[in-house]
Amino acid sequence: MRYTVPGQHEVVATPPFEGHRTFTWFTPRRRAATEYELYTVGQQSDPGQWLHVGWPIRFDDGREPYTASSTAIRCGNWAGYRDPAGLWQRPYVAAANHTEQALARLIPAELSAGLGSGIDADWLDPMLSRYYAAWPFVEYGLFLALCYAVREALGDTIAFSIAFQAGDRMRHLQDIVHLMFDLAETREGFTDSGARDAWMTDPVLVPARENIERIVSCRDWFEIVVAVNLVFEPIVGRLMKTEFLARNAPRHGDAVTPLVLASAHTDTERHRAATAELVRLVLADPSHGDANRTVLAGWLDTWTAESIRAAEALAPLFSAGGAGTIGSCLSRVLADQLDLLAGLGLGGGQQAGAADPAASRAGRARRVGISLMLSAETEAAVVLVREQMPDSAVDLRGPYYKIERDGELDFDMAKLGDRLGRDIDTDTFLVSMSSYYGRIVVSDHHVTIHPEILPDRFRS
Amino acid sequence: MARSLETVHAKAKSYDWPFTVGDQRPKFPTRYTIPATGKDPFRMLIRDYVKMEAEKDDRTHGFLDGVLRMGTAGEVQPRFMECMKLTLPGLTFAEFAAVAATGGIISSVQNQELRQGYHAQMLDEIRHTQLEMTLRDYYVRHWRDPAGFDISQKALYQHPGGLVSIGLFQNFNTGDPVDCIVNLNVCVETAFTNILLVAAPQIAVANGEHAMATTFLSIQSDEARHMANGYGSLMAVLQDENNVPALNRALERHFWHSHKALDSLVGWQSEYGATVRPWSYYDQWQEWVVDDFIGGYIDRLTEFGVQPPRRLAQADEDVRWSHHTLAQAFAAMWPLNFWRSDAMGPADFEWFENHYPGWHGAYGGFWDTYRQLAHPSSGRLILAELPGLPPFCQVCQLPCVMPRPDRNEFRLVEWQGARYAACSEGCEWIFRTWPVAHAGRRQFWARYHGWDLADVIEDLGYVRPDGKTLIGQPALDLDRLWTIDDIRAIGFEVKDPLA
Repeated sequence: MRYTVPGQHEVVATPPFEGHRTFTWFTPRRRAATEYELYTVGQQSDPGQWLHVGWPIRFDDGREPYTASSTAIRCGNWAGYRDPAGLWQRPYVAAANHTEQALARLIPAELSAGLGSGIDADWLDPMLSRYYAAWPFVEYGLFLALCYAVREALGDTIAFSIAFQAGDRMRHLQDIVHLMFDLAETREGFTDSGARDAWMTDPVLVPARENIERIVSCRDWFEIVVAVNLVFEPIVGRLMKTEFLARNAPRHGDAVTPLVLASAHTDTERHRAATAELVRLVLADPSHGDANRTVLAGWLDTWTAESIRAAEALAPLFSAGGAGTIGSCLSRVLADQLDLLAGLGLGGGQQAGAADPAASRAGRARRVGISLMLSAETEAAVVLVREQMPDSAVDLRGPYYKIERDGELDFDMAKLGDRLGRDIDTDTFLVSMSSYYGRIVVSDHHVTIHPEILPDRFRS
Repeated sequence: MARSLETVHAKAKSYDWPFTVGDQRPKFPTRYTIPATGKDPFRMLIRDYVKMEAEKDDRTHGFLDGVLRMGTAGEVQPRFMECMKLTLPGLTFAEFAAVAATGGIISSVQNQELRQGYHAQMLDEIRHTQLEMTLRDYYVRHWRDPAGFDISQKALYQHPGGLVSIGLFQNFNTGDPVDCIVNLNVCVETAFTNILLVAAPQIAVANGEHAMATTFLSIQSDEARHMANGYGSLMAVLQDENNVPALNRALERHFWHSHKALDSLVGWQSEYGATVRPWSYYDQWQEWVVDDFIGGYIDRLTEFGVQPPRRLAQADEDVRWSHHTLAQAFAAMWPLNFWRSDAMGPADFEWFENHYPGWHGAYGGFWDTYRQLAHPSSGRLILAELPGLPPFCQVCQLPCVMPRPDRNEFRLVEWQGARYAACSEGCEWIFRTWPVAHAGRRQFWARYHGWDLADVIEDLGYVRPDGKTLIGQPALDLDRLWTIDDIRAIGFEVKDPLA
């Protein structure tokens, strides 16, 4: 290779340079590394990995910067965690900006278009002015708790995922603050000045406050993430925000609060998925999975009891402002939380990894199948199946393939797109599907065929 | 509730409350008392923050997209890009360490306004980490020699030069939380990173690299808020005069450590990573550190009891030489680098002597010899010509030949029956004051004591994909590159100088 250097006339002959044209310190999950992986993975290391000479700095008392004892969970592969949303800073900020700009435009516009005057007075005060106005305390407490987890988390991908969650909490806090200003500008006399008193002394909120205080006080970063995303938010957060506020706001002429709640809801789902993935990682640890399951079960018992107490204390709100009592709502929330945990092999569900005596006779009963007519999408799907589900039977039958597998067939549109060379959504994938057997579930990015003919939640 | 930025911000920061249950002990103990008052002068709200940052991202990533079409990657001075293989990962580590740092600070500072300021900083630091990774991804794909960029995270943690970065920046999140603020927000972000992130882009552009300039300047546009966080925290802590002695010790410690690490590394990148040099590092240091930081900031805090660093004069003297000495050390150990180290030539000699009178007498002979041995046909390594390998300072991690080999201030420090190397009186003072914090790192040479140099290189993975050509090379104009066989034929054995 020859090159010239600006400002110099010399032309130098050098041999060509050998080198990899991508980062080599991690194995991508897909064929090519994603932006998320390239920009996130490999930031954090320690003496057990690359830092062979040991930490050049410790706390003044000798504690190492990161220690396994920062959580009771043990894992040999913290670096293997991947945020299922693959979120990194630019899309995070862009999405938050879109949401915030939408809220900033829509809410004042809706209120000024006459919707503000139509909000029932007894919904406005105290439901919004006293109780929803106190929810920023919840968000602030969870923000604080998560920031500690950001400091202590034992992996870069984990820390960044939690940092974005903390950011969401602060944003939700301020969204409510903005809403309070919007309401005050629309309804004369509206004030949220009673919110602090409600937070500190009102029996409706005191158990929630104590729940939050205990989470913030917790010194185990993993336990914090579990207590926030698998217990408090699915039980107390959802009961208050979805079951009470979002469901009842329209009945009281309130069209704006659900807008704020909807944006928070999307983030909450992402937090839950991120935490579920983290739990899966530590349960799958070959050396510590069983012990981790025991630790998690203990935490879930403790925090669920705490959060049920906080949830039950919200009952007066349902009596005063709801369409019914808290009972059915709380049952639904708790059932969904149990579903969530069962899906992770925790709580009331089947214990993942435990011996299943029925498995040996399941045989044919667990087989699923799909028939795909020949197309570029189908060719890509066959490649995907052969790589990702190699135990599948793939049979080319003239103009179509029949693919069968004992267990589950999952077509991830992102992975399929990798092999196809362009993005594909589920609608396009289904164009090629002639038939299937098993229980099919189509979500935004997956077409999955399950052997269980009923979802877990229908099982006793 | 009339709405204005002030009223919304005032309300948004009003959600602290006194806890009634749970473990109230601080998670990160501090020797300071931290009053519950403190200001974020930017009054940053998330809604405004994401709007501003999204705009910055669009511009910066847009440029990084456009620069591909401009095809400028092939026009950069090779020296600049080769030095960036160390400099950029070192900086990225600073950003990453600062993410955790802000998590720890938020957990420690009982003040929502400051916490909000540090929260915006947390998101900034993630931005900077990932923006720099975007830049590194661009380099590994498009710079003509990707070797080194491809392994740079692993290499960062293993190379002695990477440890200079880790030793300073891990301290952002590992220590008394207020000391961490003094390190991160006051010393590094208010004083030293200005040279790297504001002034160094000028070097980049002068040497043909525009992507780095755009990226760094966008990063630094966030740093102004971080300086304000440091200022707000300092003013809070200074409300209690009992905090002043500890604060002054922290300032002394972290100013000295920042000086040692950053002046050496950034000076090396700026002058030895350049063919075109629009300024001298020493002059930049006078402007950004002495005039702006000390004169325009620290001196104004003296009425509250803050003392300018006592070792400022010593730092001023050192900064004339330390990056030249580091450049010499890096060049001498070129087979152990994950970048190619260029030899300095007559035009460089002239520039250095003009800007640093006495340079030729101190360093000219080394570079003459270095150039003579650069071709693999010489069959010699300059490393083998040295009387011995220098130990690395237990505090700043620099080789103990500072500030200049002929004025070496190296000293051994005994602590609990073991000997530790310190490169200077300042680093010895830090080690003796905080020995537990600094004693844990083993010598790089100790790990490889008795090894053949070729085995060390292979252990570090500094060999190209052909399995024989070294990543590190001692010049940029070689018609044949050094291989592992060339090194093995020399038979150089690594000896730990402290063994």
